[in-house]
Amino acid sequence: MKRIWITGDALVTPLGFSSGENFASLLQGKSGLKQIALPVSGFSTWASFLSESQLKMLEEMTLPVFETRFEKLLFLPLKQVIEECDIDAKSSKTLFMFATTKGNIELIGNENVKTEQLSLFVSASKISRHFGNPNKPLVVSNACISGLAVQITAMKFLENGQYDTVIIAGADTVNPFILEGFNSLLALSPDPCRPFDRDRQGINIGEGGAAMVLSTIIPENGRNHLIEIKGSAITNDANHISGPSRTGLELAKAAELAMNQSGLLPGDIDFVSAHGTATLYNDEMEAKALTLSGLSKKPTHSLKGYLGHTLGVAGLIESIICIHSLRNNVIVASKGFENAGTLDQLNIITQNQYQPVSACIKTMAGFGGCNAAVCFSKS
Amino acid sequence: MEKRITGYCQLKNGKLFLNGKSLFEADIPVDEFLQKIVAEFEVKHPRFGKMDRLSKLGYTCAEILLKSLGNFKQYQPYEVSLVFANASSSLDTDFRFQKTLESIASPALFVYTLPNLVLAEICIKNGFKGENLFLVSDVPEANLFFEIINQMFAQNTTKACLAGWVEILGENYNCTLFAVEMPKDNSENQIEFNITNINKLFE
Repeated sequence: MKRIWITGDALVTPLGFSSGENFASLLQGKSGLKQIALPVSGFSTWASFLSESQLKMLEEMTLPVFETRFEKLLFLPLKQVIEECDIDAKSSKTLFMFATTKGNIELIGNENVKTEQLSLFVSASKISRHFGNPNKPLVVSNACISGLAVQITAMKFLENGQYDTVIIAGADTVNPFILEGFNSLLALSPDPCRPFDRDRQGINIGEGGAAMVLSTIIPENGRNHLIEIKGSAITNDANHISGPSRTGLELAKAAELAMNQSGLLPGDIDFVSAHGTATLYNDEMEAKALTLSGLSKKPTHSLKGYLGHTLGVAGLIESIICIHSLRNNVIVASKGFENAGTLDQLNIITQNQYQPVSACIKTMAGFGGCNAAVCFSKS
Repeated sequence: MEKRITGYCQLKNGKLFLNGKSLFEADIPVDEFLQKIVAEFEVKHPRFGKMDRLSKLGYTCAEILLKSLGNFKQYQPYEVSLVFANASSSLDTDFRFQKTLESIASPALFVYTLPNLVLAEICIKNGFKGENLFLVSDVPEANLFFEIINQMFAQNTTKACLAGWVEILGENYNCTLFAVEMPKDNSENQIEFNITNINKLFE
């Protein structure tokens, strides 16, 4: 297998407009969650969304050609990584890939909007063209695992040597379509969400944008602090279209395959960045899966209590936090957890844990019964 | 053993083709067209009526193809992977769900506002637990399928793959699926797995 390094990353969320700012906010225990009443049903929930002043800032830092919140959230982190990280975006050996579930869905229902404006591919190619990339971009839309599935697909194109760098961006937004949809499934929590806790009541939705650069070339400035994406896997429950597996066997299989491909044993993993959506069923299934994988004793967090569930970009955002944990030797605490609330008990950490960390695993599950796991480690 | 395309199926413009042979033709709206095919070819599913149109289209095409491929039953659950793509994601259903927001949001429709649900329906019916990917592009890209499928076979557990294009928006639809395996013996429908041949399937 080729070695693949993460040579750049950027985040734009309610907790900050760079990866560093986001990581610092998480260590300080800040949350982007705010109370919000749903526009149609009136249901009261919490969500992590950009404030008026942040939206103004986003507007000023992007270009008018990227009209929607979604496109701005894709563009800004991309601009940051490309400018800061010495990446040749115009090279034919560079591919742009995107992760999102719903793209410009905030525009749906508006009479003046053309169908084309709702197309995920149209947004993607508008952005990759802006950066002068000659290749056709690729969008991965695999429900809530999109942010990991995009990295897993990128690895395939790097592995076969067709490209030496893949620039990944992802975004999803908080909007009436998504909020009312999750509310119709009775999946939203009326309070700030509590992943893995006894009293968890459901999901909080979040928005954000992320960019990550995967490359088989080590940048000029050396291999210090470089993190590798070591192995990954996707599986399907083949059980139910929206409910997770009853046994957790399939997510456990994804974790096992990802560790195998990485050449890592459960004993080598220093922490688990779980999905932890705070729904009854997801957290229960994940606890079963992590137990089956031999990872239940590992320090584990869910970041949903800080940033909500950012859907198609959650896998990217949470992976970038993993990468900063590896660089800084600190594991971010899980927010919203007090009492164990799953049959199989996990080691959910409630304080930031400063310790040497050399490898971690990021797990996710999504509608359509899909599961994904990715392992990161220090070089 | 080499990878081969062991079968392919297409539902497009009121026509059903299996391994290049025309099996059914009717110039009728897509919903009716699918109903007729489901009845004619005994495509069964207890929840078929509840699926969205993208899932109905992809599921029907997959079932007809899989029925013609006796060998697919021999694989273990994690040995079968799926990679599908389209241009419009789940937009056909997104519009339908959006309309329900004017009265009561429909949870049954909201679940299908993700394109990978068609993969889930095929996986649930057939017990496939391997890798699954849903990609969005403007047109079917043979190169993309070729590279991804090659890597799927090279890594992890994949021994067979169901792949293709499943697109629907209003009355415009096109589902073209193909199976890739490493067969021990050659049979009449097999063709070499390469970019030129994948491109021909999408014509």
